[in-house]
Amino acid sequence: MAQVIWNTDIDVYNPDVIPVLVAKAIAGFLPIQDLLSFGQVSRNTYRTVSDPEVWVARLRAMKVWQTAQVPRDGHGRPLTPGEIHDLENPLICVNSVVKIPKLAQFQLLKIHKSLYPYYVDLLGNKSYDQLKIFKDFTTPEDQAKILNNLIMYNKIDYIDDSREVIRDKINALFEIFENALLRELEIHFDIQDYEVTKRFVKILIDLKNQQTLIDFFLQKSIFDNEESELFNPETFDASKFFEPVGWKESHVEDGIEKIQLDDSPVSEEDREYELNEPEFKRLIADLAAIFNQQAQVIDLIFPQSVPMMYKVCEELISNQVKELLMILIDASKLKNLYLTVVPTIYQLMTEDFIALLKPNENVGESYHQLVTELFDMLYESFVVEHMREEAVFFQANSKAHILEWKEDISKREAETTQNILKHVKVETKNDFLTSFKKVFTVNTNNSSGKNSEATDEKNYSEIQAKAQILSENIKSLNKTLSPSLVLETLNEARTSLQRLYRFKSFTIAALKDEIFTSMQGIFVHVLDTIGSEHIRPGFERALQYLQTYNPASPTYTESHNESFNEPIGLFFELINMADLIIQMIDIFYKEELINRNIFKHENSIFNTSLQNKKKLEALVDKYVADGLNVGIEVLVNEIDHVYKTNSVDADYNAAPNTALSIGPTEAAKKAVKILDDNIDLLVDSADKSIVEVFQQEIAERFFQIIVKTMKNNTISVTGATNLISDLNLYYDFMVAHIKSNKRMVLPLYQSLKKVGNIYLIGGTDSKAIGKLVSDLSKFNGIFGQEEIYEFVQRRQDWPQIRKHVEKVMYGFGLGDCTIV
Amino acid sequence: MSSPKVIIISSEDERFPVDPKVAEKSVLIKNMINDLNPDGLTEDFEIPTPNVRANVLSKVLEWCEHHKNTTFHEEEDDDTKKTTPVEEWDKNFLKVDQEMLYDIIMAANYLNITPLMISGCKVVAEMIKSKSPEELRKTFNIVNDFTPEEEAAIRRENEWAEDR
Repeated sequence: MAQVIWNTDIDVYNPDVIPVLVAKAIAGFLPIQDLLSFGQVSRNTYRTVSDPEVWVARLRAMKVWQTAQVPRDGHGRPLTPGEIHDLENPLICVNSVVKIPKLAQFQLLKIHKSLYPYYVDLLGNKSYDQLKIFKDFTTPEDQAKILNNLIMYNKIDYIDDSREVIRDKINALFEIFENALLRELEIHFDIQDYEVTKRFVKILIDLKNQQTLIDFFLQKSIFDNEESELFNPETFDASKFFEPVGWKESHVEDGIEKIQLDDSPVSEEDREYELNEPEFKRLIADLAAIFNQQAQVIDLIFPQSVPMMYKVCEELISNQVKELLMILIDASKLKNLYLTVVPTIYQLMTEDFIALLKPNENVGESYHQLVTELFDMLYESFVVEHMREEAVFFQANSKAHILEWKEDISKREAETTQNILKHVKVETKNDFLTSFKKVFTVNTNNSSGKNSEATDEKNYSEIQAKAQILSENIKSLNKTLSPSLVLETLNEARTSLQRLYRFKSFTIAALKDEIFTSMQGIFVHVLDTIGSEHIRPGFERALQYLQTYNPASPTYTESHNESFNEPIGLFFELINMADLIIQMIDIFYKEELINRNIFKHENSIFNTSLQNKKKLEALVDKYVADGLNVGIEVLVNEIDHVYKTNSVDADYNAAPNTALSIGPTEAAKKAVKILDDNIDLLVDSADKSIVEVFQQEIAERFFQIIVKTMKNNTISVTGATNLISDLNLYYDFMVAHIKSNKRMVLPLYQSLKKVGNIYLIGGTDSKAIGKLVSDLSKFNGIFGQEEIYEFVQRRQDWPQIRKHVEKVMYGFGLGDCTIV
Repeated sequence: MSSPKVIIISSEDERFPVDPKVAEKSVLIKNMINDLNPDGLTEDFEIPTPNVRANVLSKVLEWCEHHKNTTFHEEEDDDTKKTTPVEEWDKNFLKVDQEMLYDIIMAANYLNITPLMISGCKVVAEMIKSKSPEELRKTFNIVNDFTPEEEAAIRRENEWAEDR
């Protein structure tokens, strides 16, 4: 066995000597008294025990080294008398350590000396009131401190037996002590002596009893008051928040009484209700008063380190307030006010209620934000349900209105038809032919027919009736769309959107997104309903009317003096309405959606609102185009009819020497009149591009009619003057009316004028005719050679001059052409 | 072929073949194996420990074998290490003469087997507790090498704290 077990030099391995490292490890397990004894054994043990690390480790174990004050004036300085004095005070010794390793031993021994007498006193079997800690320290503050310090000292008690026993004892003392504190706290809280209450609160916080305090306060201030009128579901009267429309609160001698303004008896189910706003305001004020009351007491009792106001808000909002609102919202369903109540309460709570809250120090600046967030959390489920109900309600409601209107139209149409058919003479099937004939004979000089009409004006034949029905339908062309219905629908949508928009500042981002999505959903639904239930059937019906319109029908033009532009004009009115509807929707979109910033990416393809809006606009454009086509068709038929009924043959094929009628033919005048009536119909009322397309289309179609008319007639040299008058009229008309697309339209009419010259040249000058035909077919881009040839064939004298002309036409060689 | 062994060689060249799992209770050996065989052991691995006599090594390996499946919580703080009593098996295991106890502690220190070292130190600390300096000198056979003046000075230094 080694003579000296402590070897300072571990580099030289000596199996007979224990290295200092191991010696220190052993010293680390020794209680203070044994360390001191051990240090007195030999120089090496003394050196081991004097190592500052041995003592710093203990201070660290007590958790006082970590928080020890770092000396400003270097690590080598001695402790001041004040610092030494503090280390000798059992109440504050643990808080007075200075971070100087060399002095760790001295400081720990000081602390040991201060606390050990109280510590070891706990080992005995003394009754609590005989303990030194309670004898020497009488205020609860000091008692709390000494108990805290002793539990710290317990950490460096390396004697297994005493450590366990004393730790248990201190913990038991803590419990008893805390219970006593809580009792005192409760007594003083109950008599509203908040100053003393605050003192006990502070001690309990020092003893790390925040949770106990929170539980205590919640119990005292909330749970014990659950039976209060406001938060008691038994006594809370939700019905007073809703009052029948027409009832008014009036102040009478013995308080407030409801009097019925409208004394007509209404059954309970039919009664309409409205919010009793003063009652809601009163509720908000009552709630705010409760919060303010709590906030005031909390500021008197609790320091900011205990999140008491937060806990109270959390408890009140997520339980008491929630329950109350649930009752209120449930009640609103019975009064048919659910959709109004949910956003109204939200606004009242997040705006009015919060404005009524007085500042609270305990929760600080974030008070309002906190209440908003807590409320949003409670309200989330309500909002989700409301959002769903709003969508369902809106869809059902708006669709119902539009369908109702559509049905009304059909009904009206049916009624008109019915009314007309009522007047149809009861005729047997056999009589049908007679009646059929009558239609055609009405306009002849058959006197009997006239008589029968005169005597029985209201009696129609079946065919007349049908014509009449068609006529009535045409008159209602512009009634198949209703901007005011759309406006009404949009207003309903606006109401729904505004209700949803009240949740715009919702603090739960996911729900806020959902609300905005839901708003878009309603808008898309509006578009969808208006598109498929209104615009589409409206236009379909209008187009159907328009297509059945046949000015050529005798029952039409003659029996009902409509001018053609009536239906087409009505149709344009319809187009304007559709345009108005589109504009209304566009404004709505901008005001209710865009301006409210509910889109993350307004122009994204995922913006379904925008996509659907464009779809609707495209639908209208399509119908406008379809309608214009039908309109143009009708117009063209009308003009065509003019040429059929007003023969130009006499004028174009006038015999030589007939007296020249100056100017255009009757037919041409009529046709141009019709054109004149209609060609500018769209100007100022439709899109410029639509006007252009419309006019160009009419000009081209008219051009074809003229070509057809020319090809169907025989034209004499004398008559050619009339033809050219007509062609000039057409040309002048086009120059006057076609503002754009001139390059497309005017060449047609110009070339017609040139073609007219073919007929002016006398039959004797067949060479000139041939040359002209030749030139025209070469230099005029509008007509091909074949067509020009067709035109020349319409010359009255064609059979006679054909040979000569053809010779000129085909005799021209290529070489000649270049010379010319 | 059986799995590779770690062969620990004592100061007298006595060979102690053990499972790597047992040998790796020594952090020193564990690091050595890992540093020299980063992909794991493929054959027997010899480690000489010229500081450790065969009788001590055999005792240390007995401890390692017993504790090969014990998990020691390295992260435990000083406080817990200091206040946890020595476990019963270790206590019995360390019921050896003083010389062997020191040898085990030093071998554990050298081989870096912290839990064994702590157990050993605690056993020594138990032997020190509640003894006067004179008793300690007797128990551990230590010579008092203080001058009388030094001894008096130290006693004075401690007096104020030593009131039991």
